[in-house]
Amino acid sequence: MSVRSGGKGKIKPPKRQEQSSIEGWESLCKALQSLVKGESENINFYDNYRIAYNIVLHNNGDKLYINLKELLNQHLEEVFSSQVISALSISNTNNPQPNFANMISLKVLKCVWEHYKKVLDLIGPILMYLDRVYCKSAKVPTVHELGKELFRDIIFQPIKYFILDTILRQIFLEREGEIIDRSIIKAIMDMLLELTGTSTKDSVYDTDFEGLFLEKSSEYYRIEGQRLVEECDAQGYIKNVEERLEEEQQRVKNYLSSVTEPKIRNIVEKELISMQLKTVIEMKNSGLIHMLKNEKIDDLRRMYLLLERVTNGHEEMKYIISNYIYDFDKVVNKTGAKDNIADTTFQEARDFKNKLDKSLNLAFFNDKMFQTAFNEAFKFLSNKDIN
Amino acid sequence: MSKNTSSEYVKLISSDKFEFIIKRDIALFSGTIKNMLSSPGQFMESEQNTIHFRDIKAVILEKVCQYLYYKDRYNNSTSEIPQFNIDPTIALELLMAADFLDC
Repeated sequence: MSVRSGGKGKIKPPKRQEQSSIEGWESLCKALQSLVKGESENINFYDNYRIAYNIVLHNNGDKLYINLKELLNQHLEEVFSSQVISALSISNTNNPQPNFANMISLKVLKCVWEHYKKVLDLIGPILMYLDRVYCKSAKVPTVHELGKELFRDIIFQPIKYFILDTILRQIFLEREGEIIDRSIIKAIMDMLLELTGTSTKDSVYDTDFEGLFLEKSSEYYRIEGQRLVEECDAQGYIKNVEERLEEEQQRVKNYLSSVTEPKIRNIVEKELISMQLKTVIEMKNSGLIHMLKNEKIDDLRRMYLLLERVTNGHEEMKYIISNYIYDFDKVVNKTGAKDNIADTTFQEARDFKNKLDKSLNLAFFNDKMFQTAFNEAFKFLSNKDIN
Repeated sequence: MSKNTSSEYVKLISSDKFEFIIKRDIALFSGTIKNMLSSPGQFMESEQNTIHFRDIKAVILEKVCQYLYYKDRYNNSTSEIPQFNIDPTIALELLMAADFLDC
């Protein structure tokens, strides 16, 4: 609001607030203690806001801040020892159903966190003047930030590894086909995203969870890739990879942060496609050449699309097909009498070329690079024949 | 007591018992009033949509209400904005109230 200068009349000084500070202080503290338990009925916002305002106005903001910190500290310690510890004791190593028990502990943690956030939402507005004026000038965290930091230090840090291990175990189980409780995982993830690290602005999710998740995922998919090439033919392998890619995308949507999406996708593509590229393409009786000879258009298209994701995917395909064409005369002339070797080869080559053209059109989306590579290869082959 | 969060008007009562009834969304231009009315807890103020300003006089509170309407009228406005006139005799008290109410 701007004030017009000039004008008559004396400027009335504002009434000095009496320093009934001690009485106000006690009343405010009592109110805060109720709020910390989550009870807000019959609390007069205005009076308490006014008391906090006066305290800050008279330069006692620091005392109020210390008091608040003490109050939250005490509350969190109490919550930790009464609720969190007992929840964790359910999931000791002797428990026959450790996964289930661990999830119960996480559920307790979720409730504790959500209740605590409500408490901060009750206290924050009343101490808004403290935030606005004191916290800014003293460069200390605001009520909300302070609250979250204390939560991180008192409740989260001591059980950090338990939380991370439990979550990673659940993800492992889900990848193995079991049904898990996603809502609890999501709630804990949200908590990890809201808590910031001690010395950084990054969330605990970034610093503690994501790296570990990606590491474990790499391991998992490395083993998965090795297992799949042993158990499946090329067609089955491709199908499995498609499913896994879809699964991880859903996982991110359901309970991970979207920043993780490209990272986990890269891992799956690396471990399941790049690392097993040659093996899958060259699979006996089911690989790329087999598909071409038997005109498995759908399989070819899927392979094309899947391998597009990795840098050498298409290169490898072109290479294998080109090589096959180069050596066509060697492969084909096993049968047939000596006289008409040339004829047989020529006929077979023509047949193969037709199939290839069809595949190019229907499965490889008329990819020009592929077309060029094949044409070159056939030219080379026909030159060989002539000689 | 049912929580009436969608009532259109709120009542602001000054220390000398004057009642000012203004639209709820206009009252929310004051950060403090906004917190009082829309904070998640069941504070007495939000339950009854009434705030007792025990230490703000009517003459000050009236000016505050005028300001809130002024702000609503000319917020993001491209037309020429008239000056908001303040009687210097109440200027200092008004300043304190503005600081208190965050508006």
